[in-house]
Amino acid sequence: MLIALAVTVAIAVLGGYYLVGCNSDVLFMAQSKSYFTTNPVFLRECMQLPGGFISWVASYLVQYFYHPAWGAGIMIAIWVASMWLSKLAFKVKGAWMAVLAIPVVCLLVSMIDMGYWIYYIKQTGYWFYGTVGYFFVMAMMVLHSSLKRKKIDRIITTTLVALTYSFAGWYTLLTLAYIAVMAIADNLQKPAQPEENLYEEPKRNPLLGKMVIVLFPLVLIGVVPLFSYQFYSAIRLEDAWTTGFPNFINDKMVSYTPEIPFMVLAAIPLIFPFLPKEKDLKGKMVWVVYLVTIALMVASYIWVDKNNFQNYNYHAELRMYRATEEQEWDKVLDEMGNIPGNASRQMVLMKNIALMNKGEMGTRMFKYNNMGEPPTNGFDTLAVHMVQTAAPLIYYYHGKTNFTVRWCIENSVEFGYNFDNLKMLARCALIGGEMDAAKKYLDILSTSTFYKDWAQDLMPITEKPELIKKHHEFDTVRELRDHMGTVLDGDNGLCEMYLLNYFSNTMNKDDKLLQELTLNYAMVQKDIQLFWPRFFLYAQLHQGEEMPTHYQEAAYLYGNLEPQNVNISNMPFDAKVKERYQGFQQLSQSLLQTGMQPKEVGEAMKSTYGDTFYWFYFFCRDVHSY
Amino acid sequence: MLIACNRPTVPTDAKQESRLPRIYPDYTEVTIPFNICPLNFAVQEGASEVVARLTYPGGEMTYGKDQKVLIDEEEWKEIMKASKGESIQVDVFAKVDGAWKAFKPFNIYVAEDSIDQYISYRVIQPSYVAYEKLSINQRDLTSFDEREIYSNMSVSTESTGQCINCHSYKNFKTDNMLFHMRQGYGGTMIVTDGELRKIDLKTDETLSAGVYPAWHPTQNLIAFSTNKTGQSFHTKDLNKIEVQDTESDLILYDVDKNEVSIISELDDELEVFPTWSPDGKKLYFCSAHFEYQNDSIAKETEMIQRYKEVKYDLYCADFDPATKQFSNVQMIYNASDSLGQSVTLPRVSPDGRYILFAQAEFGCFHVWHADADIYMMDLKTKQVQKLDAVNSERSESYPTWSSSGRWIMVDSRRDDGNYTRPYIAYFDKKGKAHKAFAVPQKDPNFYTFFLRSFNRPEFMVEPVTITPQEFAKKAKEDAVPAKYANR
Repeated sequence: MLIALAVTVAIAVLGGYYLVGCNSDVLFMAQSKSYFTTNPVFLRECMQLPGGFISWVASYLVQYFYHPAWGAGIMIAIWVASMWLSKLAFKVKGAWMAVLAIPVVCLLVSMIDMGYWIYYIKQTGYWFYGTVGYFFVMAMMVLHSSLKRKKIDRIITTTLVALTYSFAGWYTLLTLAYIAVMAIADNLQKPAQPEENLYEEPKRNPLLGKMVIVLFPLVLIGVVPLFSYQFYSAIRLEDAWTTGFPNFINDKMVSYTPEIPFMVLAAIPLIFPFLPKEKDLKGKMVWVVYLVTIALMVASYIWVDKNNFQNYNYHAELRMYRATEEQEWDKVLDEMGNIPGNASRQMVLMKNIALMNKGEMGTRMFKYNNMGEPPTNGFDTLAVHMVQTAAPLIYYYHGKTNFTVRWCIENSVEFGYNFDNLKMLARCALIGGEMDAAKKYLDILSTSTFYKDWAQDLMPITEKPELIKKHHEFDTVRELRDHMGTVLDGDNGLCEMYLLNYFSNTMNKDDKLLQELTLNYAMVQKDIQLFWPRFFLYAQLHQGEEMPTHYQEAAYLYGNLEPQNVNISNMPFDAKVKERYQGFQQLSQSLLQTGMQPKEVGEAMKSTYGDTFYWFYFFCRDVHSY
Repeated sequence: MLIACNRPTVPTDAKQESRLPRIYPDYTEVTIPFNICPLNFAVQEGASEVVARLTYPGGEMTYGKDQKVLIDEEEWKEIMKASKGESIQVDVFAKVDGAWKAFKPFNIYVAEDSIDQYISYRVIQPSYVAYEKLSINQRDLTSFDEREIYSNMSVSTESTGQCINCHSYKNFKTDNMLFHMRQGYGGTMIVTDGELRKIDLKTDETLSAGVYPAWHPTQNLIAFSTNKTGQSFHTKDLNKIEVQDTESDLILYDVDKNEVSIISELDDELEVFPTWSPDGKKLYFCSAHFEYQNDSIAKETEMIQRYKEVKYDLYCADFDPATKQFSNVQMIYNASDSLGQSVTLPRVSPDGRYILFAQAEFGCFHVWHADADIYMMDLKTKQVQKLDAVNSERSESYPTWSSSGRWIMVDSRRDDGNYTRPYIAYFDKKGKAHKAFAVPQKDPNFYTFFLRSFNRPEFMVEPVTITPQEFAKKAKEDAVPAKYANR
């Protein structure tokens, strides 16, 4: 019992540390990218697939990751309950608890090894699906084992389990497999007792009875999905046996790595019936158990730690996304400032949004690392596209609400609706004056556990549209959107390229915010012809104000690079701007003369001039948008 | 019995309001068929309790649970039986902030005309480019029963994703029907006299496979449009999407011979949306005159630049079923030049007297045009009228007739501007359309929580009996290529 308790505590600690300590940001995003409503429509949609009820329950529980510690606590409690249920079901001595814990360790790994699949997983309620499914299996096994004394009881409970296929899908089939294995173990471990079966005639061949008990659940595994297929129009026949087992697949590739925990989870309970029983654990066997326990715990820790996806940018992106969504601009910039290597383009864009909202684009835009690289999982070749991660949010803060709506819907088509999308859709509808659509989305969110207040806070706007002016979180988006024209175009799935092209080619003299954005994106494009008219317009709109450093740097640089275009000799540049330009030119020339390659020169100058537009212009190269 | 025991009582202390109650769906003053399922509705008055009293010839019933009025199906049938040709008065009471309010009563008129028992529609997210789960569903209007005719997920995988569309029936029956599958396992599923086949309608001589279909009422012939379709996005306009054809023609498919021939492929004309007269002697269709002016850019690009110039008119061609020849093509409704409007999706009434269509300022994809409304031409007088009772301030499109011609069904975005819902309207013997109502759902809040559209609603007099699994099995087979035949 002591070992059982120790293992239980160890699992709880391990789960707590890796879920809450290392992956709170992941858990928050998980619930944000999930969906649940109490309305029966959602239950009905879940039930269109075998295992739909588990999806529905799991989706409900995923909501609790809104407070990651709450969700993790519920999850760990279910894990612990599952472990103890498996002990009860398979009548395993507590000393073997470390073995019983392996499926739970698998579930932990499946939570933290996802990487960028967090945006691409299609299984409804994925984050709790395995946990609820495994709990269901063990609960069914307890039921079965508690009533299995007579063969007829076994047949009845096995049939009852089979009838849960529509509710539990894959996990029903797993239960049937474990029942079969349990029957095999029973047959191996003890001879048939005549008094065990009142319905069996003493002269009947006991082997036949044993075979029936083993084969019946196996036959059901084959037959139940085949039969049930006639009632499911939304699955392929060949998938009827695996509905509920998560797939990590898109149109370009299949990733088997994240499936491994689920395969191990399914396989391990097959050995539970064969674990030595209490009476066998004597003498040296006890020490074997201790050693096995320690070895399994250490191995579990290593496996969990090795699969804990700790890519810095991945987690920083999640935190920045949340901060951007909540308009915590300083948090966004703090995250950007702390990145040890190159950022992803998504992070660069969120940084730009934060600076725009703080009115500091002109002074801080190029002080951050603007290099960017596409995110990768490492363990597979999943191609991450911004339109499927943060583009709806990024478009929103650029005033491009139609494109936000578009990508919210596109992503919902592929990966299902989620709270994040519904919030974005509600915001866009409110800003666009589509009050009935806004009410629809807010009505749905009002049935959620944690977005209810958010939705109800905004609901009055649907009755009185003028109230939106009191919600200052919409101010900049409304300002940008109101001053944009409408054109018919498309982004070809490239959010950043679209924004750069759109804004750098836009001229606007009616709105300072929009105008400054066009200037900045012209600078990011490094297009001198686009820069000058937007620079002069900025100066005209901001007469009497100090010209921000980066704009001075760009003007001074372009004036020196192409003096024939614009004469900058009379422009009142800050002395420091000129001084740093001279220093930049001298240092770069001297380094180039030493034979260094331009890329090496850029690296060498980064610490001194990495905060200038000069450095961005010459050395921020090979940026890959995605 | 349980319902009878829990039947709510009408409050006696209610304060009378002078206005109608806000209910959803809006069933006030609508005319309904006597064989339709209960019109359950939600009262949107912020009430804690509601009661609705239905007074009908020979009796009255009360209903109300929380904020919903849910009517027992068996009792509803009795009410309908008693009210045929008459009306039901509905008094709604709502308890708001602890006090009861009585609203101005409204009527539900029960027509003596029944409605076709089934409708079908495609269930789809208000889609842009991506598609995942799509299904064509059939709904029994006399109950709340809904089933999938075919779900693309029965064959789709990540790499063989499949789009399905354009379900169509011959004479409202399902022994001759079709729908298209695009991309994965592409082809057209055609059922002829109960036999299911999968055909590839694309030939080297035609623009595309068949798109918008129309079954000939007496012959084994199907007219299709062929289209090269593109999609682009408004950056700010609330219409959000434009779907445009850069090219389109009309073809005729001979089901028996498995032959495709061209009906019309005029240069500078975008022909689309064929539909037959009930006697099969006329083919109506829409066509937009559009001349590309700039050879230096792609047609798609020029179409995007000039999308508002694309306006469709209504045409008619004579058809000889014996020779299968078309003749005497003439424009019967000039919407483009005279009105600056664009006509789409024509459908002729079963008696051949009227033709319904969707009309908006420009383009062919009116489901995304908020100004799109349903119009009707009297083919005898050539008079066109806007069906105000059917329309709303938002998009109406895909009009269709019931087999009796007494009911009209349209796709409407009136609820929220983004998700299409099927609305039905009574069309009386005098040629007058009555107020449209949403197809009833068991849960009146269903449409709020259902985040998919109902696309291309069609009436059927019988259900599709081929199972989704049978369709799926056929879908996995190779499509039989159609032959091309010169006309």
